[in-house]
Amino acid sequence: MKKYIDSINSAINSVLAYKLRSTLTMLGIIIGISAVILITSIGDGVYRSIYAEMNEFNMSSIMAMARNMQPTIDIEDVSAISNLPNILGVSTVSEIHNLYFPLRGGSEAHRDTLIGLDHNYTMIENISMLYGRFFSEQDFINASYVTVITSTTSLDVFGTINSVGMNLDIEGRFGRFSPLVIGIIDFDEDSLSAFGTPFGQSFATMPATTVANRAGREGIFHQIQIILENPTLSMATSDQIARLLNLRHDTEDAFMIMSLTTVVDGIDAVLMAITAFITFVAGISLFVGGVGVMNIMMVTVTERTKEIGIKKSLGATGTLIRLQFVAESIIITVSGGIIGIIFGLLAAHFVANIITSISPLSINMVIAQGPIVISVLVSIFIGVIFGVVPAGKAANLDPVESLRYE
Amino acid sequence: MKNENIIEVKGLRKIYKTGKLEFEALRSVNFTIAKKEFVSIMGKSGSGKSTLMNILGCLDTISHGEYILDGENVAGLSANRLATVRNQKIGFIFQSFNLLPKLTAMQNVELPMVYAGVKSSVRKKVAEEALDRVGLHKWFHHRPNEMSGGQKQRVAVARALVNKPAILLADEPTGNLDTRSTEDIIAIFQQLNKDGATIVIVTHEPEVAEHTKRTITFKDGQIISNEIIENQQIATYVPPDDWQD
Repeated sequence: MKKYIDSINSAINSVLAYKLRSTLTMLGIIIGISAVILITSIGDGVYRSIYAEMNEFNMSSIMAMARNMQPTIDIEDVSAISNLPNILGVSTVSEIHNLYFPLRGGSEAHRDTLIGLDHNYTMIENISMLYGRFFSEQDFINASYVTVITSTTSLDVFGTINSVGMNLDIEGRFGRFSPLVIGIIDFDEDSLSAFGTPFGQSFATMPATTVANRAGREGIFHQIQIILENPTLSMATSDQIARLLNLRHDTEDAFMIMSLTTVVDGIDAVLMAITAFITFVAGISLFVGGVGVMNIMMVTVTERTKEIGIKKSLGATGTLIRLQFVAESIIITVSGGIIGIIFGLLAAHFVANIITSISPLSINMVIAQGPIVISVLVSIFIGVIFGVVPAGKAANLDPVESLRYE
Repeated sequence: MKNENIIEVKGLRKIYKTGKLEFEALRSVNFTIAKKEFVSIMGKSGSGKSTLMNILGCLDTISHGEYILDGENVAGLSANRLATVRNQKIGFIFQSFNLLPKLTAMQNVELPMVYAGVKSSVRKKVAEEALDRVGLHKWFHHRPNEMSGGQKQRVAVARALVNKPAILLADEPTGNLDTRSTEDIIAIFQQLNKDGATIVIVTHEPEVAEHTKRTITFKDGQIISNEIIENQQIATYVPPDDWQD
């Protein structure tokens, strides 16, 4: 009906009549909304980027290790775990530090780590062989004295990358032994060993059984990686493994059980906390902005006192007067909201580019509808809430007094 | 019983309270105004005539007594209902014109019909007719700041006519006008009255009162005289020739 349109037209004219004032009034809304849009866009982009990186790793494995290196996990533990539901296989890792690999043709010795792996390891990590081969199941069964080393170690010790067929001397607290080099692996510098404890660039690996024979109890399983059949159940399976290990070793919470999903969840939780915090701060800005709108609307009502008096004398009801001013308030807040959305998206685009260029993450900006719709709704809501009081004041003006107002 | 009275005021009192002080602006006023009457209400400032005007126009409320407008007792009405009464039954004309500055003459005149929910095509027609009646043939799309006082007051009169109100209430309608415009406006009122409108003018100028048919005079909140004017002056209306644009 035209009378409502008339009210809204009056509201639009009022906002346009004082452009600078209207823009300044919107400022709090603009800042609050753009902050929310910025943080939700960036947070979403970062999360998706990390998730994509994580997916390059095998999401279906869980790592278990003792928090303080003790107690070590033994073969019976591995059997017991293999018998739990949802377990596809268990791969054992043992790290023997501070052994020495004497350099050929020199008196120096290279201090390095010997790692015992089992045949399941290839299920977990992408091993790219430069030369030769990885261990076979026979090597494990026979506990052969064979070794696979990194290209860096080969270069350091032998002076050449391809040292297949040569013997690697290993000295240290387990005596001296010289396994045959059967393969050279290329270890990617950037990749983490599943959970952030990289083996480093330079190490030698041998079958876990051989290492166990050589190093006794010390050679047994500092870390095991459990491969799951169903990765979505990793939380439940992690709990089961933890309980089993603690039970078997009569400890409480001595073991750290990590899966990529817990890491991703951890990152997610941090991102959510940051987003929540920034949204809260933005909420304060929106509130203050709303108060600013209400303040200006009170001024507007006073300025329009005569006009309101005239309209009332002609038959405008309180409702129509109220509508005019709530409409004006909403026009201001929604305009601010839309400007805030645009600024927020531009800022997010800009920040995404910066993050992409200075960090290993590559953020792809996607314009999410959810936050935009919510921002518009919140803007309308603020307009209504903070427009109601001034509108009420206008509607209740005494016609006689208003007409006298100059 | 068919009542020929548009306005019936009985025992009307208006008391203003400021803090502890009470000021009785109208003390037990009684009068009636019948259909097609042309009445002036006179008095010095402070006599209560402006207060009465606001009450007759339903802009202000009664403290005691009765005010029956076109058969309806206005006293207990809600604010919204009063707004409707103002819209439908009363046509206001103010001393300072009170047009909305951002609207054109046409839009100003249409406004009471907008509040009444009248359709756009009907509004346009009625507004044009009203503007014609007051002699503003080609000023539909001008804004108030492009008009003289006399033209603005004519627009205000046209606006007051569009919802076919029971009465036209004019509060010092010629107060801000020059002599020529004053004559024109009074002539317009007389023509409207001749065509059947009931008109009440509040004025302090005897020259204006002499052009009406009855004068009610106020002093200190009470009526001191209520007389028919024997020799009503007739104003002559000369349409100005500078308006054909």
